[in-house]
Amino acid sequence: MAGTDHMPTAVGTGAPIPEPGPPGVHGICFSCDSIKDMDIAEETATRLGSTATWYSVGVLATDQELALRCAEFCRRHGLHALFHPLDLDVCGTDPLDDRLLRLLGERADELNSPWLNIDLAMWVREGETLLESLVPMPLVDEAVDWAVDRIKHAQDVIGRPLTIENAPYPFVVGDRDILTLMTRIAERADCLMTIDVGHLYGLRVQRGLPPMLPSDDDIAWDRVVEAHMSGTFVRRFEGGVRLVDDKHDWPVSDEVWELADALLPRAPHLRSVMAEAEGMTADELTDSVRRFARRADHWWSAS
Amino acid sequence: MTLDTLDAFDVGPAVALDYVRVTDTTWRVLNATPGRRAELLDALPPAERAVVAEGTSGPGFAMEQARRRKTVANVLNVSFPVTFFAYYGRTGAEGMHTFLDSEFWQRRPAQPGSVFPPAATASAAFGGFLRSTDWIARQEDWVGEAFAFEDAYLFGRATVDTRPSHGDSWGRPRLAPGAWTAEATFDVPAYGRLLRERGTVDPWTEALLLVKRRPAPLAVLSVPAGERIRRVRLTGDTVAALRWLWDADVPVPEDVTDTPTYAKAVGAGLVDGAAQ
Repeated sequence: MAGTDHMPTAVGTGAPIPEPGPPGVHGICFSCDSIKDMDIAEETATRLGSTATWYSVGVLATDQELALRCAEFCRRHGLHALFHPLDLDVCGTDPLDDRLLRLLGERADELNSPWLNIDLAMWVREGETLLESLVPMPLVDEAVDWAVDRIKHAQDVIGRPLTIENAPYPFVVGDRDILTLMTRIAERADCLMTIDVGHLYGLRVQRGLPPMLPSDDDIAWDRVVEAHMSGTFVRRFEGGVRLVDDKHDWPVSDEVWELADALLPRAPHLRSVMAEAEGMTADELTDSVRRFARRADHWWSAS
Repeated sequence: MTLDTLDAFDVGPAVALDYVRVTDTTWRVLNATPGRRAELLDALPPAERAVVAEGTSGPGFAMEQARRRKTVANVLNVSFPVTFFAYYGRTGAEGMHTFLDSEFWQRRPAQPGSVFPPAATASAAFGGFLRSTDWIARQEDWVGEAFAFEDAYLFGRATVDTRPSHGDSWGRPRLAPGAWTAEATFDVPAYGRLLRERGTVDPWTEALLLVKRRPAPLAVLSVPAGERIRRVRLTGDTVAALRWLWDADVPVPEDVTDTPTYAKAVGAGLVDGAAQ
């Protein structure tokens, strides 16, 4: 059962990945709360100069005013915008809303974002946006058909590619490997991929797995255009259970840097690495982006 | 080797799962009491039950449930600052899930385009839930008084005086059209702030016992003003002096229209038809 009534077939499977985004552009991305913390974004962008390349914009489909303000911010600082919609729902159970998809396309045009990034999770339920109450995509085979149909349809209506991201998994329904499912979805939907290294590290640690798996060799690395990284907070429970929380205002841990070092050079089309930083001060954010720029230098070697 | 066989967790025979049912049940279990969780799981086919049951247990899930309680609590803390403090303080997570399991929450009308949980319908659901239970009746009087105040403040409807005029030449002055009143014998919003302050150092249950309510008559009159609601706050003796305006059982004092209090009420736009 698909998430939409009629599915276009304009996109193929297994085709070579076209060069995504502005030619030759790759570098560090940063983010702030686009509503509350634009003063921090302004200060940070001014201090960073050319150290940052991208700015991640999280807005709702209907918020044209904020999108235009962020577009202007990017133009003023020579940054490229990456659009992270807050109400695009490729894994939820509501039917896709074409009116909302068209609005997202308009926001993407205004931002001139080369693609739209979306976590694989239920983002909307009965029309209400679940911003702080996402339900991560169950890790079951059946998620593939469901997400593929919806992603194809969304891409067709929006007119730009989607990049699908592994969501945070504070709890895990299903037992499949997230990167394996993402690869199956991306190849069939002909979309791009974003690896959130912190989310991946957390999920695997919680399952008692090593951060890297043999199956990582078979991931569609040529579809990976973005990586996200943030701090992590480990909670330990009885019985050796460990939970790993995302902390956007904390520095990235050594374990996450190591996993990024191991995985990201495999992605030949990697264009952006995002230092997630909501909640940081301008000082902390500036330092964080500079640290990313130094550390990430060799991640671009394949691209 | 295919990608599927590389999957580290691939065990057991393949049985097709219904993605929508698995996802929807997961959502529901996130807001469920343990008893309701068992019912939701029982309603699933065995293969789906096993997957959802395993995924919705353990410390990670408990933490996520707590986080989700917080998102709803954040809304209700604002709309019902005293009542919700008392309810959550005394019933805890179990009480919150009882509310979230109730038909008032489950059948809450969706507000497409809003961010979950929308304040208006979440607050209406909580108010309806409390009115339907005997929880308020089992608390001290002041809890009921605070709930009546907060409920009226949020959802009060126009006080309609259907009585005929008293036969005198000028008739009884009435509250401005569409206006309504929330009244209490203590300053409910101020008490909510004191509870919150105390709740930062003591358990909420202790704060509810320790923070005293100073008698301080309060009436907040809500007056429609175009698309907005204008709130007029009356305190102290003014409350008793003007109660006749919204309580039809209180007689109009003689020569009231000559008093400074009446003039202030007219100036605040509280009196129907009176020149300001």
